[in-house]
Amino acid sequence: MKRTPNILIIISDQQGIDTIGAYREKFSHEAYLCHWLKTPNFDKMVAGGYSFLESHSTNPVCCPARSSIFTGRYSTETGVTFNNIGIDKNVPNMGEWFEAKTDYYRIYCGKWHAGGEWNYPDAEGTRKIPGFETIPVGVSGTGDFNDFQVSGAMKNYIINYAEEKPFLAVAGFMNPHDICYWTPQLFGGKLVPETDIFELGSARPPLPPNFNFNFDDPFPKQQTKFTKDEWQNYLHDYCRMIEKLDADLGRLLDAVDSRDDETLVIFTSDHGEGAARHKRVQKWHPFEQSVKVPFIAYMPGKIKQNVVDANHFVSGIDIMTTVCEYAAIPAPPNCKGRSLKRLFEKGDTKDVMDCAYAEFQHIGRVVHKGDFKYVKIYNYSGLPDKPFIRLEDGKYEKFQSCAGSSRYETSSNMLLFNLKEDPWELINLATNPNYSLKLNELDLLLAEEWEKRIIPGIHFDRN
Amino acid sequence: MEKLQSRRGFLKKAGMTVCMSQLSMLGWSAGFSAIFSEGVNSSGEFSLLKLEKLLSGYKFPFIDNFSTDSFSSVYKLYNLYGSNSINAGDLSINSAVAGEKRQFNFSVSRLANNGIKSQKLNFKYIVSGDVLCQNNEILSPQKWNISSKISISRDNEAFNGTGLKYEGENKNGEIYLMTSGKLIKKAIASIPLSWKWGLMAVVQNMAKVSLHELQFSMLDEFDTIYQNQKMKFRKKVSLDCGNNHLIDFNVFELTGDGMIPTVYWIDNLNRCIFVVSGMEAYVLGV
Repeated sequence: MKRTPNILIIISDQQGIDTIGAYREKFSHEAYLCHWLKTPNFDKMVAGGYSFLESHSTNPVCCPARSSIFTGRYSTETGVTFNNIGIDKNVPNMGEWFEAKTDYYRIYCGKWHAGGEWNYPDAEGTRKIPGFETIPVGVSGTGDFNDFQVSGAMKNYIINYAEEKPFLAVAGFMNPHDICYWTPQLFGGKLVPETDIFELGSARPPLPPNFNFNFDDPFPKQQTKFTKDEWQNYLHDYCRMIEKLDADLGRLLDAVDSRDDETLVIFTSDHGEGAARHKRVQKWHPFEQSVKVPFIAYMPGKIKQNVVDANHFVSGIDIMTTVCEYAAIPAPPNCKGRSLKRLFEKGDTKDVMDCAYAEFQHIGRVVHKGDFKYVKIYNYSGLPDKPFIRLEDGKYEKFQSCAGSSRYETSSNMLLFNLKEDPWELINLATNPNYSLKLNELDLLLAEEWEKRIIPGIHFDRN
Repeated sequence: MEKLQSRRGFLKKAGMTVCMSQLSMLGWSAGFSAIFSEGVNSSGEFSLLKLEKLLSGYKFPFIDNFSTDSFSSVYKLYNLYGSNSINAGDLSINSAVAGEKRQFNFSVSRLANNGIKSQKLNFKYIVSGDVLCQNNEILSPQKWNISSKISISRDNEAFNGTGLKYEGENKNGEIYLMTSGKLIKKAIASIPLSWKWGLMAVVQNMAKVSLHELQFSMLDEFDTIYQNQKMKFRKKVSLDCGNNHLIDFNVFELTGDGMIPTVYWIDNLNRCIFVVSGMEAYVLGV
């Protein structure tokens, strides 16, 4: 029987899709960050593999998005609708599923944060990821300190690996999430110079065209009182973090390329970064900079090379189903993703979605179909027909965010953008009567095609 | 006067003058005689503000003299996460002149994980090795032998297949990285190559000899090349290094691909005392 390929999944944290140098032609506006950084290793993956421009985070914040990547289920289904919640124990993660169905050796190194308040797994004990062995790396929440260790340890591991059975390995990088600490709220403002003290001048990215915008923005601001210089210093350092991440990616590609057997490499990120667009830092919100993430598959000789797919919609949810097909096993029950194997290898689009569905936190939904993106923020009804969490005793409960407040729940809100004509999301069409038909069409699609398929997960405390 | 006395090996404190040789008799190392005073004032400098809490208790390592060619330096690595600085490892660098070459050996140990808590094991990521460099102004690496591993100490086995030895060579800008005789990587350094830990020696020499800007590629520890690096002299700053001991520092900045602007603080003996970059800092100890 033919050996199935090794699988290496690489996940970054807070990396927007426009941070890959190879995409400069696709994101031609000079404010996109791909014009301000160099990513030879990402470029190598893009040139040697199949990547997507319509790649969406399933829920643009760490734990929910990661729970989807490792289960193939939406965050409402994994029960992880916010950070620091454990995955519903009835929903198998990738390690558990591969342990049950394959002889793959399963190894994890680096950031997990897909269930529980802990970022990095231990080798044993309550903070070991079910189904995975652990290379113990990760002492705090900074990529600056940990990512070099993750890439170094995993590189050695992959080069050394000589077992007969294939491996399923995951490298979880923290960067460019470190940029969170560049915001004054988190680090007292000590990491962003107030002026251009390093004389970087025009080497710094400009402010984006949607830095200022006019529509009524219902989301928490998550912005700072940065001056223009501070914003540009912030963007400059974010680009350098991407370049560091690129070096870490390169170490892993070197290791894979040095092996004589086949390894499927999938790279993605959990969510994007505000990057001054809509005056925002970080994520949480449904704008493009928060939702769109890289998704690259690489296996020279097997996967089509140099395909940058701008037509098909994918998200982290598709990774579980895809790696299952590569491992020649069925996906777990109720997986919502599609296997992309036939698309990668033969260009067969039969299994690929023509729209993307995403959640943000527990009450926001995004549907992106064709040129239009529809955003709905529910007003919590208190009934289980609207976003909620299900507890282990079977009862339903209104979700309380870690801040203890209902951040989005004061009123229902809708947004509608024509991304083809308005890629920077400057004009909210939801209040324009000329678009009421489109609004209704997408609202119906959300209700009938998506919400009815969701099987709510149980909020499981794994801390 | 007080500054002069400290340079000559005397410390005047509370009306009492103590000679270095007397301190040696009390147990201080005669070869690397050091006197400590408490606290360094950041003087509002951007790169040092991040270290303020740490610097308030820092004992500045006063010594008599320092050779920028042959030296042994030990740094503590701090991770500036949140409001506290976590001592997360250490770095030792030894430099010796060998004819027209410079021979370094280094070892850097980073706290990796609290690991198996029930067994109270703290894992570390340990990289160590020898680097032979040209003795030029950027100390271009020629050959290096490096080992890296996750382990609980430098002397213990690597954890679960995470240990490996690498041999590297720079042939006129073509970089070859091998392990057990197998080529792992070939890369091109677009402009003359320096290397990460060698930069501490580079800036020490810059402070001593010439302040002109240097441009180079940088080998990061052992296997990755960052292009377009620029080391630039920024300014001179006097810092109160405890008990009103003012020390003049030359301040250098490193910028380039993949580099959060990094600030090097070089003291009046041309020693690299602080290196601060983003959320990471290296602080000279003894």
